[in-house]
Amino acid sequence: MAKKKKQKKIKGKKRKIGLKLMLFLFVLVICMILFLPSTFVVVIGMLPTFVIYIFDKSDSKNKSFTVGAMNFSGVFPYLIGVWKQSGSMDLALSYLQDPVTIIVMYSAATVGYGIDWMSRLFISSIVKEKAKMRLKRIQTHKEDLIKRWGQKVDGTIPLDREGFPLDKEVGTTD
Amino acid sequence: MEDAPPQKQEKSALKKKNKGGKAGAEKAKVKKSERAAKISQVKKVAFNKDIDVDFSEPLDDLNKGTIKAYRAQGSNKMPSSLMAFICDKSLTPRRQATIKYSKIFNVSLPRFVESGKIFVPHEKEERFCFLYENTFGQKLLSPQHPQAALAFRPDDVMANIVKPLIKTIIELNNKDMVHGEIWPGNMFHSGIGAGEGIKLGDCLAAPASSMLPALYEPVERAMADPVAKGRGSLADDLYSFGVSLAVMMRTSDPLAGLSEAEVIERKIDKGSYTTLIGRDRFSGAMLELLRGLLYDDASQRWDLDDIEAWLDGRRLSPKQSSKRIKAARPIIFANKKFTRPELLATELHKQPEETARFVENGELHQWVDRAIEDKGIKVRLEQVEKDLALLDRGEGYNQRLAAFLAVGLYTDSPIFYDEIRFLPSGFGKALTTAFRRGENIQPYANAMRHVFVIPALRYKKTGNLTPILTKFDSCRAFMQQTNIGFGIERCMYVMDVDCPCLSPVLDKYYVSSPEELMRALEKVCAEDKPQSLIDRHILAFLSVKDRKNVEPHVAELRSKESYKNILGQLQTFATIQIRARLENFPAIAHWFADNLDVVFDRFHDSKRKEFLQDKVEKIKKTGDLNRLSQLFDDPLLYQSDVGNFQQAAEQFKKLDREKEKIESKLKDKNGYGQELGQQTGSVVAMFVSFVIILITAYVTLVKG
Repeated sequence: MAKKKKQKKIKGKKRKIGLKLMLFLFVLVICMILFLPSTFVVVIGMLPTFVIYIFDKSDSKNKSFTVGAMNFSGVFPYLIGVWKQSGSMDLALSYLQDPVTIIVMYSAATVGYGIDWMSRLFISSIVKEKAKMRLKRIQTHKEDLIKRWGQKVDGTIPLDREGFPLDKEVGTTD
Repeated sequence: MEDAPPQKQEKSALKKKNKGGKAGAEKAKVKKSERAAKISQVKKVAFNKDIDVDFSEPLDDLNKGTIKAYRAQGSNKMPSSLMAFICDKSLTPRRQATIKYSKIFNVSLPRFVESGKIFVPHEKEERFCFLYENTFGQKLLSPQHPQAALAFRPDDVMANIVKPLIKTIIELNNKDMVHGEIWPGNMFHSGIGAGEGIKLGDCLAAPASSMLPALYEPVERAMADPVAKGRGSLADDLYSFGVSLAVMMRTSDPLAGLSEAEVIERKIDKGSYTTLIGRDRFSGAMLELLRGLLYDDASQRWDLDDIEAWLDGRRLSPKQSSKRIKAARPIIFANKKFTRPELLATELHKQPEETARFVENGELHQWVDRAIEDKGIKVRLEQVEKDLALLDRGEGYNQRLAAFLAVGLYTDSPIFYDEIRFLPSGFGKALTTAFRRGENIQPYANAMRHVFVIPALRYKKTGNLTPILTKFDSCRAFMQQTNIGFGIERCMYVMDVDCPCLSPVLDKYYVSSPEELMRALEKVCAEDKPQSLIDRHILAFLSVKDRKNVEPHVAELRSKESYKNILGQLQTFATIQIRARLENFPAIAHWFADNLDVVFDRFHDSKRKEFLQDKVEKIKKTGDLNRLSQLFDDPLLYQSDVGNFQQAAEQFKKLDREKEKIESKLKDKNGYGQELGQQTGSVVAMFVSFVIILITAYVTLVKG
């Protein structure tokens, strides 16, 4: 019972939204309303990022960052166009109605996805090779240790305080 | 010298032997046998640079039983005509007495020249020998017939024998020395007249009195085994001299055909004078001397003052001879009748079970109480009966009881125990002689192990027994310990200070000091490969002779771990080498180098092992045992090796753990490196994005 109560308390805590976040969301909503044309462009343009973010289960959300960064670089030229026209809603809507705009924005996101895929493939193969080389070095080092200190250095034989096998004491007369 | 010194021949043969291979081994065998044959043919052996002993010229007339005499030749400052007594291997010569003897210059003693060990070719081993100037002449009496009657005229005896020999005995006594072999069989004359130019023969080549026939010994010493009589005293020398005079002057032998035991029995029964003189009658002066010297009671016997007074012409009033105790009625023991407690005492040990019964049924007590008038013996027996509680009632109790009782009945007697009859100071020599002759030494071991000897010795009224009691006490402690360095071997060297080292390894060598031990082992190692250089005998010998230097290494020498043992041996010999500033010993160093594998095995670090092996290989050629020992004499050497090994083992574990970790990551084919890839991708994307944004902003805002 006590456990359940604790769990409920934790859930309750999680559900509670902090004052700072509340304030941030409030300011964000106000900003979104104030800069509605820009909000439109960003929300529609960054849609792939939002999708990726939702499906990216990793803690670091690196993929979302990669896609998001590239996606934003695709959205930014239109966003700056809207800002140049003093936040014209018409211009924002005209951009969004133009398929080229959407293609540019989403292609940028695709490039981000590509960068993520490529870097994973490239970097992981490098890391694997490096690990294999390290394994080889470890094996050589171990062999050197055995050569210098004897097989007993591998720790498979029970040893006495002075490092000699317990079952067959070295230098002991029968 | 007809041939090269045998040691050199042996070394050269050895060098050839080491050339290896089966054919080489066979050749070496052949050469060894040839060498042995050659050595046995060597006739002249150099004792030192000035003296050669010629083994082809035995002097059989001068032989003393198993002690053989050979002609020897001196050169340079040495007298040219010498003779050598080659000691019996089983008898310990009186080396300690040699120093005193060499300082005596007396015309009636042969001039002592040298003593030491010598290689005896026909025995193929070293023996101790004594070298004298060969001025002995002829023996007065054949040793084969000690009981004789020489019928010398008393005047001749007085002039040619009594006067010179009394002077000799005085000189010996002044040097605190007992001759121990004064009898006509060991007296020599120039052959001109009876006893003219008289000389007393050697007394150093065997334990004191061991070569003296029982007839010439006082009763209590005559009862002891020949080598178990101990050093003796001036009184014993004077008694022997008295018997010798009696034998020389008497015209008939009243003891002809009697055995030694019968002579002793008669001496107890009738007294020495009556027993020896028989029907002969001597003039007043000679009679006085003989009576004075032949008192059976040593305290009544004439001493040197009495003799000097007699020589000056003063006539001494005869002392009242204390008569031996005789019982009013005999007692029957083992179907024999006894009226003398002394004679009964000599029989008890022969029938120990009967003795026990004899004591338990009170027969002995009753006899002493009722048939013997002497109060002293009654008091002693009562004390003995009280002290019986001290005896260990385990195996051999009856024998201990018999020995104990015998001392109670006859305090001056030897201790009769089991098969042995010994006087306290003769125990050590008797033990070592029995050991060397391969006789049963169990009775000696039992005598030292059980406490009965110490109270038995306390009953004795003669002499200062404290040193011998201390020795027995120490030996009892040694016998209780079975470790190497203790046991009966240690007792041998404690009890017999002259005893050479009796290790089987040194069978061919005569070793009487740690320095000689080193030199002998050098020869042994050059010839053979012994299993160990320090065995029970060698350690016991060194513990007695060089205790200070050996004691620090005893723990290692007793260790069952062979590496400690071998290092203990090396350190011991290195210490002796430094202490005595001895020469180098390459053969011993080679032996150690060949046997140090167990020590190298104690090192974990193969590099250090190789380093030490290289060093050993270099040092062994020099024979410097100290340098060899110092290689292994650093505790940090072992500690750092163990410490480094433990670090290496820890490192090995870490490597193992790292390997496991990497392998487990590699097993995850899709996951390994993905995170890093994504991170890298993020960085690249952000950078590219940042560049695009900057360019876009520049183009739109600045240019546009």
